[in-house]
Amino acid sequence: MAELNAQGATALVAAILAAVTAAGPFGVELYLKLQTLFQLGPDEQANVAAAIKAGLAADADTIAAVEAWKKQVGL
Amino acid sequence: MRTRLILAIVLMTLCVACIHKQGGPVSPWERANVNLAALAQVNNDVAKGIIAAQQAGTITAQQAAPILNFQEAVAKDHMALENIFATGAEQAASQSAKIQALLEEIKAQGTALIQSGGLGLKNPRSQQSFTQDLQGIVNLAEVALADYQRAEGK
Repeated sequence: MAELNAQGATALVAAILAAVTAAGPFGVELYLKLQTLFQLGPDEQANVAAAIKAGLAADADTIAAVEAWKKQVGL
Repeated sequence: MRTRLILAIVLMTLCVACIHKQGGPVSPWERANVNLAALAQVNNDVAKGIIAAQQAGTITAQQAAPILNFQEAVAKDHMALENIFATGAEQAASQSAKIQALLEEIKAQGTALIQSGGLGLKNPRSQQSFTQDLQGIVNLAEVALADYQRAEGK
């Protein structure tokens, strides 16, 4: 991984702060999750396995959150 | 502020559109899998935004219910897709019709929900309207379908 110099780090922090201001912390959280997903290593099988794992974890979380919400509001 | 927000969204869209791979080109199969995972991630984030909006009193439970039912259906369809994809590219090819039908179903249900109206409220998590969030899910389903067809060699 490339090293970040002082100028680069300052620019990165400024970009993050601008993004937090504009999109809110949750927007940035999603952005970072997607960025992690979109940075692939050299091994195709490992990349596909990681994507499937991330997708299934998101699905399980969505279903659990919606079911918990339904229970909470009595639907 | 509005210009900055639009700029941030445009920048984020441009950035997330790029899949980077160390030491080589991204294969169509990788692209299909990564975009499919992104669909699940965005769906998860939108669902949490709707729950947060309902809990904050921005929308009623009756308004939130059809959207969340759609999100749950997307998650279940997506889980079925991932389970097919997990068998590998060759095995998945034998279930091509099912894969395409599941993605088409996500697109159709999302489009119908958007067209039903009343989703112009802002999602506190994404800072854009629920209509835009749902359109994002429909668009990702379209991208995943095109990627899959490319991976299949169509």
